[in-house]
Amino acid sequence: VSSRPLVAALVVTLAACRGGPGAPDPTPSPSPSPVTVPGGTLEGVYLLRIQPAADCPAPGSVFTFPMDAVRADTARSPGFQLVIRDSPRIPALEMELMYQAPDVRGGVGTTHEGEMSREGIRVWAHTVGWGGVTTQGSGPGQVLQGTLMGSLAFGRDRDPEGALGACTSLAHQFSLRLS
Amino acid sequence: MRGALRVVFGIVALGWLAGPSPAAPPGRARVVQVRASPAFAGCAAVVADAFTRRHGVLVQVETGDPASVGGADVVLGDDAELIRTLEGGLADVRTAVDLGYVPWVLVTPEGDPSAPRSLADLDRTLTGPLHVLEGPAGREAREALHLDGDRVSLSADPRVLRAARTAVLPATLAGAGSRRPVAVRPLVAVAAAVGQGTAPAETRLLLEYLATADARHTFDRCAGSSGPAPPPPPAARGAAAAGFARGIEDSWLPRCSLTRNLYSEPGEVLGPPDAVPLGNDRYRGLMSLGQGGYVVIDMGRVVDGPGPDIRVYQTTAGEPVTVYASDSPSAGFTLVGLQRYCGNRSGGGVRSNHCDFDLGEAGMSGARYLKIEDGEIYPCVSAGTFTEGADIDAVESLHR
Repeated sequence: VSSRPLVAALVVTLAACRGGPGAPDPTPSPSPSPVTVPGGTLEGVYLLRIQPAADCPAPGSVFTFPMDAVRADTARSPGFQLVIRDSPRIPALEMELMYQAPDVRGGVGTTHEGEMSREGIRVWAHTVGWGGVTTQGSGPGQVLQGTLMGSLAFGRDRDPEGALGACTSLAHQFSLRLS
Repeated sequence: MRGALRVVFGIVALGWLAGPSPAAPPGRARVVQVRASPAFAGCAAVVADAFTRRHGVLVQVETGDPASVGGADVVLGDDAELIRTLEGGLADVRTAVDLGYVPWVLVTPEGDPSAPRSLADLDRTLTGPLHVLEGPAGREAREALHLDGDRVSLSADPRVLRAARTAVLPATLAGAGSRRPVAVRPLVAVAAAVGQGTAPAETRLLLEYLATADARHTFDRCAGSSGPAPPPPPAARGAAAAGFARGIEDSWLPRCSLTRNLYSEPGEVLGPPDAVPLGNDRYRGLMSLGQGGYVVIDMGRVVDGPGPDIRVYQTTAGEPVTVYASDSPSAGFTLVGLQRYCGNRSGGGVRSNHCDFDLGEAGMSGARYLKIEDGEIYPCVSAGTFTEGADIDAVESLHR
């Protein structure tokens, strides 16, 4: 049996006991960042961030939506369902994702009414998205960068669909970050 | 469609002048209420006038959102406008009649040499706002423009659109000026009876009339259409079912769609098209893909040949479909076509519509497996139908 662990523990203990009355406060050492690992679950409150493709005529570069995520497994595959948070009546934005660890893939869609983003622009989406789930520490996972393909349209609150632009692209992007 | 118009055309008076109706019960001259989308209302009134003169039944045509069925006996709209109305059973898909097609045109000032001549010219030559039809019927046109929103003005008001100096519109809404055809899917005028209509006998008579060559000819003449697009030639038919999907390799539907949809069996995709609408959102012989769901099928072999190579039969209206191809059932899928309108009429006794895909567009010479994915991507939790997502009847290889 090696005695090294015991010695190391003793050194750590002595170091911790150095601070006594009159001794200067020890400078707290930065705690190491939790390791990011592939995989995880999407559960809780998220911020969905949709970034239209560069060549898409859009009235902004990013549109964000608060989403509630729950597990939605089927016999075929694990999955997640994300629905717009605090929707007054009929939810107008929903994501249905299949999970093949560490990747998710599925539909990101709105009703014909579209959904108002935090940026004050109404967004209509009929897209398929995919990306890798990663987890830091023991919390829920996130999708830090994913791809969306399909149609997006934009308008002000009372505008008809596409009044501020519309496009179909293979190169929209999205992320799902814990809120 | 927000702020939809409700303009009533004056054809009721013509009906009264035509005298008592042989079909209407004595003493109770019922009026068939038709709600037509802006692109169709004008020509619908002309056809309704001909119907009234022939049958003596009064028809009132109003311009509005055909997805809103309240107070209507018949709705008349494009596939894109009626998907949810027909799927949800608000209008009876079994009564649906194609009245005709309306092509899209680019309208520019007559004799202006600097005016745009094509959609590709717009970004460079457009000097004022470009007027475009709003709502689902105009979605494909709007996406084809690639213009910033501040250069486009959307409206559903026929008076505004007809007065537009430069516009991309269905020909029925085009005003004065030069008209050039544009490569946007023509609108298809679909009429269907509303489930809770108040004049069922008169409604049935009207729909029977709309299916006649006389009614279609009247509509085409009004719409400036050369007539309904002929059904494409039946492909690989009669050569046994070897050209159709022969095996299921994989499928996925979200839990929400599995819970709410009635038709989730992948095996329904196999073999030749055989789906049948039974009314009230009930069908036989199809698989609904739900929100973004898919099915992977074994085709034996699909090869790139002249023209399209793959035909997907999809049952209700024109719900979009996405297709990928691979030589492996589980990996390496290449996108062949994204969210393609899947409402081309099939003819030949096939009840389902279809959309075609070309392997050459994906740079592929052949493939064994196809992944067929829902392209509508409508929120499942808000859907309210039993057949959410594209409804796949069959998949056919057009070259072997």
